[in-house]
Amino acid sequence: MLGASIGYLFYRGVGVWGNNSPVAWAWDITNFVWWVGIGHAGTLISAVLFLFRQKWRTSINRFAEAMTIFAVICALIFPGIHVGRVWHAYYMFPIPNQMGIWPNFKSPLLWDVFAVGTYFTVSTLFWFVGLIPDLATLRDRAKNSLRRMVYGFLALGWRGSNRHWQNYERAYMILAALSTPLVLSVHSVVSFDFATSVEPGWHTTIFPPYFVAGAVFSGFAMVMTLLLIARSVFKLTDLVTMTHIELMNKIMLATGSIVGYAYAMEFFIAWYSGNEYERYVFINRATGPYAWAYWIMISCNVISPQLFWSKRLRTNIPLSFVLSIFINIGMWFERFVIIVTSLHRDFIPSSWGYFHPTLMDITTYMGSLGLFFTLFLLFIRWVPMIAIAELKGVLPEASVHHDEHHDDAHEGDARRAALAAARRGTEPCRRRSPP
Amino acid sequence: MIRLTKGSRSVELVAWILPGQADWFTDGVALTKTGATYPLSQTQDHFRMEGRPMAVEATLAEFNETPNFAARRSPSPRTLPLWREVSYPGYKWGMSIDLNACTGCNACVVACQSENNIPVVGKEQVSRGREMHWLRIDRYFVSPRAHGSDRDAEATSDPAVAFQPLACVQCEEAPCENVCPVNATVHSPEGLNDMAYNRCIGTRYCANNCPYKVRRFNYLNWHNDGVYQPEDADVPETVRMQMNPNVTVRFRGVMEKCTYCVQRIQGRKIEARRADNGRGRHIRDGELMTACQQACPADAIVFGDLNDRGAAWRDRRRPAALRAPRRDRHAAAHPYLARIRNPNPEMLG
Repeated sequence: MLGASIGYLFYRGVGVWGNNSPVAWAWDITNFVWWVGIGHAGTLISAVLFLFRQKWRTSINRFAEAMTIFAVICALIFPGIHVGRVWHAYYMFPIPNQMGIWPNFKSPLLWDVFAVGTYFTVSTLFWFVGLIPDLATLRDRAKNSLRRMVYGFLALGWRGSNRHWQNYERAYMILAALSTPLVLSVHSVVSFDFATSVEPGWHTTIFPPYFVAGAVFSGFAMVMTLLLIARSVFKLTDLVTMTHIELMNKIMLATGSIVGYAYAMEFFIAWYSGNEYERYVFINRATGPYAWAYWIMISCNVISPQLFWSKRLRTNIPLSFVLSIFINIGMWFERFVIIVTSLHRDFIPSSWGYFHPTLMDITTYMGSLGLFFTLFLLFIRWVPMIAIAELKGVLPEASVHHDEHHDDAHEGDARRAALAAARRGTEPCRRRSPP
Repeated sequence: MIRLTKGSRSVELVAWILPGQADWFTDGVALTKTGATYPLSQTQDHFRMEGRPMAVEATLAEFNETPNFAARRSPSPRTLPLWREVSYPGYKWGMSIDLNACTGCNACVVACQSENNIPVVGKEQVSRGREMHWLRIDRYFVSPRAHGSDRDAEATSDPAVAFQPLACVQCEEAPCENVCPVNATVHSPEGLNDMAYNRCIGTRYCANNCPYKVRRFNYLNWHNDGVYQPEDADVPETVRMQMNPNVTVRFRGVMEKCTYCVQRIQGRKIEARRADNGRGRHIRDGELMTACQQACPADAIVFGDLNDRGAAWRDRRRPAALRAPRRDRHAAAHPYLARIRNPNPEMLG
């Protein structure tokens, strides 16, 4: 469906969507921002929580990282295909050319290209580096030679030696440190697309933090949706425990409230600025032709996560699932509200218009969802969805103090044995434990 | 939809009620609502200025009291420049439009369309909001009885109409130029905001950031999608000659907008350079006309070199000069002369 929609789009032009003047960006950019936002949780869970030594992240990080990458792939499609002349989309890259024209470095859209590109590269590397020990495990357990070859190639000759582990840990740490600022930068830069324009409703300094909070919010919601499905299908209840779900729901409550605060502040500042255009945009958002979208956004994003104040509700799995879907819907509408309601009525009343989506808008969006889930299912089929090596590191047996209550004198022996085991095969040594 | 009946004959028509429409029609004709609806394609859906300083106007008495009423109602910008200000030592093109003279006849719009090979998109696309006019005439209903900015807010049963032709105002520090990722829209050394069609990839960011919403995007291949092919044998000669050979025919996926008829400017510059036995000279005021200016029967549009201090330059010095409708530093090249009405109080009733 995605292929057919995009093919038709390329054949006829952007006019197959409902975009018009004044609403020159609509579902295309809404989808882009939504997918990039979803792509945030992965890196946040992996990198930031890793740096803060939040070990509970271990059972969900692989999942979240994979989701990040697939979401960013979906996101990258939209700016690529939404341009009028796709065959010239490479003009956005600073490629030396005979015309001697650089891209316009003043344009936030160009910053976007760099920010999202960097984010995608670093997330993919981070995910891949984390996978190496697990790929080696798969290689060692491969049942046929083709798999052994493929996994062996991807495992980059991993033998599980102490030096391998040392380099691996260091690389992982460096990549985690590199990705952490990216979590903040990507969506800040995406928000600059709007914040640096002159459009009332877009030109707002609150956008960078508000977009990042919203991105974490939607990313966690999407992780929750996928995780709850996987948890029940693959019986992962021992690995993804109620604690995980509860912690994630708490994060959603926090970020949802930040987003709610940002919505309120936008209104306050619109009034406080005294700018008549800015004021009108916000009154129009809540009461104008797109009020339905605004109130869907408010109810899904601000009101529904407030249920998580109650411990009983945030440990309720069906409710968590339903709310995570609500949040996904709400965040899509947030992007839609920001983009379309600001554009459809701006400075000059004679140009005011309305946006109607076409069938192609819907199929392109559905197609991107399809791509996302296809990639995700392929991931579950071929790659360990829980980080095997890391999980071993947090098992009770991996702790240096695990058997010390039996016999303190043997502690040194146990360490030596474990190190020897690590040298022999792919068993992880005790990582991140005090000597 | 309505049905008009006279005697045994009847006809079904589409009716659209606008402010100030007379509630009587003519004798002997019965008018009934059929209850059916019919989608109308229109290029403008909103007819009030919402109190914004767009087509600012005053009565003669108000003008005599405060001659600079236009500047007051539409104050100068308070923002500082983003970049170092640019000077234009050669030509600096500017246009001024006299709202007193404009009758909203649309001749300029048609002239612009034929001069610049602007595609005609048809009613289906207009209903989607994709009309391509580079120059449009905005129409607002105002109340001639109210004062100041209330004039706009008071929708009465007896409104007056304010017209405002609006095309690209060739902003200084144009918002569209800053956001284009590929440098497809840039300022010329003569103060024009140029479009490089070959460079444009169609992100439409410029159109979003345009405060005047005068940028038009080729959403489809208007010239060839379902329209005639010029090489077809059965296309009449006159239709084959439809396109202006001096103006690029744009393909789908690029943005376009008013160029101040840059092809005419360049043509006239070449002539002026060859003038006086090849010694060359500047273009003189009034020598160069844009298509809209040429077509305007009321001479409402004046175009010229602002460095030359011609008619367009003089207009902006007048007390009623009105900045293009937005309070910022963009629209220096493109002022309006605010409309001054002198209504007969008896006719206002």
